[in-house]
Amino acid sequence: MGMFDGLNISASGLTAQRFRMDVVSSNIANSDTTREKKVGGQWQPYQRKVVNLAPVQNSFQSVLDDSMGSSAGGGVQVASVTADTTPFNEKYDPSDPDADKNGYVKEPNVDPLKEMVDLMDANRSYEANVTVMNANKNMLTKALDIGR
Amino acid sequence: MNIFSATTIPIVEQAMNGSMAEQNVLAQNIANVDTPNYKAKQVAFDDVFNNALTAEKTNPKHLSFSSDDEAGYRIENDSSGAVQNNGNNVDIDAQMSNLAKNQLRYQALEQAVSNQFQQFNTVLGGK
Repeated sequence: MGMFDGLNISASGLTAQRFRMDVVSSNIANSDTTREKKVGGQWQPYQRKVVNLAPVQNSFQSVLDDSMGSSAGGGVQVASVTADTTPFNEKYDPSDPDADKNGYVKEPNVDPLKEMVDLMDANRSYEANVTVMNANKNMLTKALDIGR
Repeated sequence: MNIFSATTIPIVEQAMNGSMAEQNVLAQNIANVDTPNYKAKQVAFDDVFNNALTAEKTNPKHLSFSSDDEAGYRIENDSSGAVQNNGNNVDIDAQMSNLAKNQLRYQALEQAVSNQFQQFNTVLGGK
């Protein structure tokens, strides 16, 4: 167990939460993007992206320590970014170049309300990690004061 | 036998190690507050019963029953928080208040060690 384990764990939390905020930014920025990729010659709109988090557990040693109860763990990591498969919104606009033969345009499945809630969630979690980091720093500083 | 073994320093040192371990566990729980299916952990300190249950090691490579043989604490799952829809049971309010408690405890222990060293200084006449 290293001296800076706690700080590293909080740092992994900060990285993960900042990444979530980046993905929310991407989702909101692309909420009107109708041309993400071509499927069968037809433009597909932007699909909302979702971040999946997982605890860091990448070595045999970390799994062993975990089950022996001698390690706090290695923090959190972004396991994957997946596309939200809920159906696209459809808007009737025959003048749009991306409209299908019935005059409907497929629009991204981004819900601004969901994105704002996600943003607040990530923001609060980020702040919690900062608080823990400061607490840890104070403890380490205190330990350095021993014998002064 | 060394000069410090008659004092409370080794005991307080162990307590400080436990407190630092708890800090790391709190950091892990709070870092994983949004992780699906993550189960919160907590530090459990030794009791007499667990101390009596030590593994008889006939080979130095044998594993202990649990880590507390050496460390005086072990890390186990904390099931006190309610499990949310995503399978996560980290209670962020409990974690944050434990964080505050743990910090104060660590400071108190640090004071205790510092006082011991000051007493040594006085006895040894070094100022």
